[in-house]
Amino acid sequence: MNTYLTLLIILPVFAAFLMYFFRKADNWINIAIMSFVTLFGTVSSLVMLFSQGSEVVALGGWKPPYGIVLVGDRLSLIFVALIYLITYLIAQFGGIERTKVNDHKSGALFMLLTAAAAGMILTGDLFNFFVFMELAAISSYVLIAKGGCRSSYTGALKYIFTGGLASMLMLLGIGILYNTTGTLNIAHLMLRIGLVGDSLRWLALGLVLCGILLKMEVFPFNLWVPESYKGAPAGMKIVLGSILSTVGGYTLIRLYPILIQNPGLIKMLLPLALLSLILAELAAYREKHINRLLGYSSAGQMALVMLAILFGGRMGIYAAIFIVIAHALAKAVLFFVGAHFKKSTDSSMWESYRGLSKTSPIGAVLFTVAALSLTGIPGMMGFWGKLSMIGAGLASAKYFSIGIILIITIVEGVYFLRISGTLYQSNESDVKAKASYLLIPAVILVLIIVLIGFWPGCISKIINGGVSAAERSSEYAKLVLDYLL
Amino acid sequence: MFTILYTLSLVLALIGIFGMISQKNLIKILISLNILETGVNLFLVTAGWSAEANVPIITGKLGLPSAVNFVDPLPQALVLTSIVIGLGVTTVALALILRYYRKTGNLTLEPSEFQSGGER
Repeated sequence: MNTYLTLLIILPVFAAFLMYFFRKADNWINIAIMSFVTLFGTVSSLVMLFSQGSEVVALGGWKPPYGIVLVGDRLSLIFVALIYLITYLIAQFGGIERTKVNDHKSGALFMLLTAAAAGMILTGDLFNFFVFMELAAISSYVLIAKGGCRSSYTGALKYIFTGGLASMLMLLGIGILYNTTGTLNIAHLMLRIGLVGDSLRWLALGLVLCGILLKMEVFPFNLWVPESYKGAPAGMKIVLGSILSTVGGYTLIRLYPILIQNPGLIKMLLPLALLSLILAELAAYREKHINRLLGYSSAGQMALVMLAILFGGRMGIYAAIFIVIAHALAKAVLFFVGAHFKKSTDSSMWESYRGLSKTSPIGAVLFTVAALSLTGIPGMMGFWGKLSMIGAGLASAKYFSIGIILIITIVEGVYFLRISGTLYQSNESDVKAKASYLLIPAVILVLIIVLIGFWPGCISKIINGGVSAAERSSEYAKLVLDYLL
Repeated sequence: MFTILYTLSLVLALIGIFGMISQKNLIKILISLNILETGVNLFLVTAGWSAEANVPIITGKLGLPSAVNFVDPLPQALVLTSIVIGLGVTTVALALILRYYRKTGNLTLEPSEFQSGGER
């Protein structure tokens, strides 16, 4: 079993190099390679998740605090399975023409991005995390610029500069942590972080969080969001919205035992998350461009995840994991359907989607269901996340934050239902539905959303396992540093 | 000595951050990013440095005390990796700036692009 964990990172890299040799061949070979690799990743991570749970691989045979470890525990395997599922759907169904992951260069970059995202989740070493983060970042810069229009370049350049600044700050933070604790292993760090003096610990953790908040699109690191979401090719939008932000959310959940030891830092991050939530959702409310709107909504949802983690406790982490998963699934649906609408009407402004429910009834239904799930309507997946989030807020007596979350949820509901309403208005235009194959992955994802919405019990056992793995530093540390303790 | 090295590397990093915030020209922002990178790398190397210790290379004279007493090699390995990553980011950024210049004819991100642009 040990090798599977390494294969999850190695295989996509291998596929990326393989694609170079098939550069003259037909597209379907590239798509076949990508689909095979990602499907393998999905299945094997699900099998590992359901069969036994935890697994630690010490790379190169160096024992944990000295070498790099890959940790596949009950928390990280959930997220690896999630990102592999979404990459599979992009590779298999979105790969044709529209998403531009078809030619071998984009395909190779897409595979490198997949490897980097899996690596960021699986690694148990802070510097290794940084390296994978940069690998993901460089691939995504190029993939955003592949959109080829002015806002693609603007978005990519803004992303490079904010990303470069944030990752350098993160590296500085890692340097300070290594300097003061003498370790880079996350599990070892959880045990030793208490030894560092208060102010230095704040500084180091704050700097490390810069890099994670960038991926989560939290204010002030989200200046790149609107242009990048507007300019990126459709497949890359899904990657930005459903994969990279998911990875950011996972990392914050993973670092929870370290964060919780710093009540002062949490007090500082709480207003930041609230501000980010309000700004992002209000910006989405005013937005007319569908992809920018969805980008702002991602930023808002990730701020919600951050709030759930800051509320803390079992319930808070449960809510955070649930919201991250619900958001990743729903946002992928919205982008797939959005790409289908764009293709049909040749416009990205949602106001021009008037009456589209006639030409594409399934698309309209899928869009509405995913939007309702994001808002948190009972019977959808997002509802259970929001519910346990409010429970966590009540438990930690953060009434002001709960009030803001509820108000912002209404704003969110209004702007999504406004779009759905536009879809169902009657209109005499005769647009033809194009690129309907983009609806297939959306149907699959919506089925998952509805299934979990009506029967949350089917995954609550897995998520609870993840919560236990995330909440107690002792469990994670015991897993990784077993022979030391 | 340590204090001077730490201070200087952090000052270099701060100069880079200041440049990234204050400059308009894309190339200048990129140069500022590189200055910031250099500052951070110097900071990391300083973390493993010690005045009395040797280079962390195992030579034939392993038994000698001077060969045992070497500086922490891990920060050096980290910095090596980070330099390579910095090179990659710089290359990609330069290529993108070139594309952007060919597309738009200028080297600054226009303030109008921060607002809602036209339809794609």
